[in-house]
Amino acid sequence: MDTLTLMFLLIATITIAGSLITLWSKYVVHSVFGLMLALLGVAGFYVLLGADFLAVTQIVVYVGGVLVLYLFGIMLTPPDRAERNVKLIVFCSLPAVAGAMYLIGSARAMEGKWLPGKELPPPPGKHLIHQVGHSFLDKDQYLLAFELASVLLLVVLVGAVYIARRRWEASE
Amino acid sequence: MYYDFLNVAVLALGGLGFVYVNLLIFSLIRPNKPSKLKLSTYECGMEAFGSSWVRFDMRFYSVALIFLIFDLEIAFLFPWSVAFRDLGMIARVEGLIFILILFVGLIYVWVRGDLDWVKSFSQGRAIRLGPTAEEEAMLLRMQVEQALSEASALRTVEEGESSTEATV
Repeated sequence: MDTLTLMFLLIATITIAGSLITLWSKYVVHSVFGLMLALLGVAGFYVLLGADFLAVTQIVVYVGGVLVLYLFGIMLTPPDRAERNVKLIVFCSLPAVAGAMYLIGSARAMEGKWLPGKELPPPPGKHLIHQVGHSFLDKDQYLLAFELASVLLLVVLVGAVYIARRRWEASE
Repeated sequence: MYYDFLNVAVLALGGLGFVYVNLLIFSLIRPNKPSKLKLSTYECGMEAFGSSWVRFDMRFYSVALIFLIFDLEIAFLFPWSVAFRDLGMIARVEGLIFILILFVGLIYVWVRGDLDWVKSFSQGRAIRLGPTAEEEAMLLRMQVEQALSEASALRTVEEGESSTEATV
């Protein structure tokens, strides 16, 4: 067993353990920390696949940003409404369907039906992030998308803050 | 590329190891005599009561939302920061445009008061955290008046005592 396989097994263990903590933990806050473990594991997968920019983005955005948002979202829920009062069958059916679809899809992908090759691409020698940066700034490639992303973020910022403020005023 | 992330992994493992190995060593050699007072949440502070699950202020959430947006901005600027040196002036201008568009958003939330902690969101209506200046002045006046009346009462008692002594 080479080092890469060993690393993969280690990261897979971390990811699965984090997901199981997220699912089975009794406290919602513990679930969030389990989710942090799982997301860090996913970042590890990106590293193994040679996608350094994705790995860094995963950590900066998901572990650093989205999880903080989840934590505040949980802290904002009133304690008396913390219990899940959705029926268990409704609560479980949607994730079950999503999980079944994922399982079928990944099984077919492993057979090589949907993906061109079973083998992973070799890790790039140079940093991938250089290529990403160059394609962002090249006007023949993704420059417009790059600037539009800024506009999109602006719209999201204004919209999200507006909705949050309205809810705040309603709760007052 | 793996080599760079190996550096990260070594640093992370070193940090984790520094914490947990030390905790393990000290848990082996320290004496263990727990008591009820020692195990309380704040040993020499106020006694904790109620659940720690209190409902947080909505403002935390909107600040977290704003943080997330600028976090994403950092994620976009990261490849730009690696590449812009090779591409000359035009790349700098492109990055500047990106930042300026989001700067409009920052100005918006700033002006609308979403970054203010004390003020309410709605129409500059401030949440009062304490008494206003007028109420404070009135409170002070009442205290002064009370002190004056107490002092005068004390004086009449003393005068009365001294007069009775004189007659005796």
